[in-house]
Amino acid sequence: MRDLLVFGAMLLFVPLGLSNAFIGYMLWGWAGLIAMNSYVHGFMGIVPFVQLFALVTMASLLMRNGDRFERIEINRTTVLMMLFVVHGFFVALFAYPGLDRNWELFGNLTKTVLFCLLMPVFVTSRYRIHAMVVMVVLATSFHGALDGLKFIASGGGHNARGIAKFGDNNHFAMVLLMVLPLLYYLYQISSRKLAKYGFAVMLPLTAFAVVATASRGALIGLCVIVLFILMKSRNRVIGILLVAVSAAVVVQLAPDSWSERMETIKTAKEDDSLLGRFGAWRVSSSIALHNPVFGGGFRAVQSSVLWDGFKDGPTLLPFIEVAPSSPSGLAAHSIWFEVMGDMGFVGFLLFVGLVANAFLTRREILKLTKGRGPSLRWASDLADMLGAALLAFVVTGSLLSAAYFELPYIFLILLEVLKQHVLKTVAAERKAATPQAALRPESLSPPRPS
Amino acid sequence: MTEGLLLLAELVLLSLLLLAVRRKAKDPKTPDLGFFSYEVLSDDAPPPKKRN
Repeated sequence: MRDLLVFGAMLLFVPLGLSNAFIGYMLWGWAGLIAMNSYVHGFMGIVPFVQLFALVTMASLLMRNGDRFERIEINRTTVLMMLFVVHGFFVALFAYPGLDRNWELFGNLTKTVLFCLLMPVFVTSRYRIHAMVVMVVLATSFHGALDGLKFIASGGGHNARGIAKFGDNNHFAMVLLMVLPLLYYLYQISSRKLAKYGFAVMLPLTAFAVVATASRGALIGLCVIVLFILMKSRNRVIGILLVAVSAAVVVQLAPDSWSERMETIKTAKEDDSLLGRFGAWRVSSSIALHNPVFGGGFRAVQSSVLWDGFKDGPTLLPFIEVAPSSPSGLAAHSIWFEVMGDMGFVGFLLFVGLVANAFLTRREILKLTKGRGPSLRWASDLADMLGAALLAFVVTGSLLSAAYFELPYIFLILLEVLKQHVLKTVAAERKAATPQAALRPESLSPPRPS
Repeated sequence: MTEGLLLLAELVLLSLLLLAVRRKAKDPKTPDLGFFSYEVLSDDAPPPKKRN
């Protein structure tokens, strides 16, 4: 039945994508984030949706179907992204032998960066920026709504694992946390009441799904995001009430095992799971010290051979001991150490540059919109919420191997696209204001003698 | 059952979005994105009284 449903939808989506390249582009992004193959198990299960919509977009772009396109922008963000992927190519080329997913991960990174570099070509106006945000939220919060509903229906007993694409429960929680600020943005900005209330319902459902993952890092991330949103909220009383009600529901529904697991945050220093992560950081930095330019290759630290070879080598973290009983070849468990081990210090600096650049771009947007009228308030709100989403990535990602996941890259480029749009709007306003100023009577009068 | 219904809702909402984008692309004077319309504030008009 689901296959027929999706098949029917494709009969609409593919022609729509062919008729307008921007629609094809949105479908490409949507297919990547929703991972439809995880939800259909019949004849549609073998359809490569992402590749299909990527082809549809390219075909539509070649036919120039759509109302407006721009050239690929050369700016700080796009240059950093291009350098990161070019460096990634050499990383994969010079990687240690025997890394199973080396080229696969490089391929995924390349596809993500290609998608991002095309965004300034298609997303050229406010309604397109809005449509992109709605598309990302629809695709991502679908997973959250599903597990949030299961959490309520099971009386808190449901254990959310997410789908294979996202990895384990911790990765899934990170993805959901990143979409929460955008749900809040859409709730604020939507003018149709039904849509507004729909986003308002999705917010707690997605938060419940985060709780259902029983991820301790995500609980910390959730607190950070909720605080950030409350700080930025224009109606804090309602916000605090909503948070209080949601927290009460969680406390009522969550089983004892959840509370016991969250309690272990206090004793994290004695936790084997955390100690194992520290060991992976030590090994990752050791690989980077030995290969400072190109690192060890994608997922190098997960190779048992490399782990055993580097666990006692020189490292940036000499105070951390890798326990002799610790299994070999663990995940890096930190976006920072993951990139450091995989791509060396050059890749690490590019990655840090990308993340820092996003926060800098957010600041630039806030500066550009500050003191202007309400017409650009949406841009500062969106910049804030994209910043919050990236903050969730930084906070929870510091304990996860998620450096190459596409969502943060999409948000990075969306911030850049938003900045370009604000710059153009401000420039157009100035241009429109200048002739008027020149025609004012006082500007036409002769200069006063000094 | 829950998954199927949510999938249906997802596909319907996405269709609404894509059709609204197509309408807007064909006629840029179309004022909004239908179900997914957003607030447009003007610098000249006073800000709305209440906004959550």
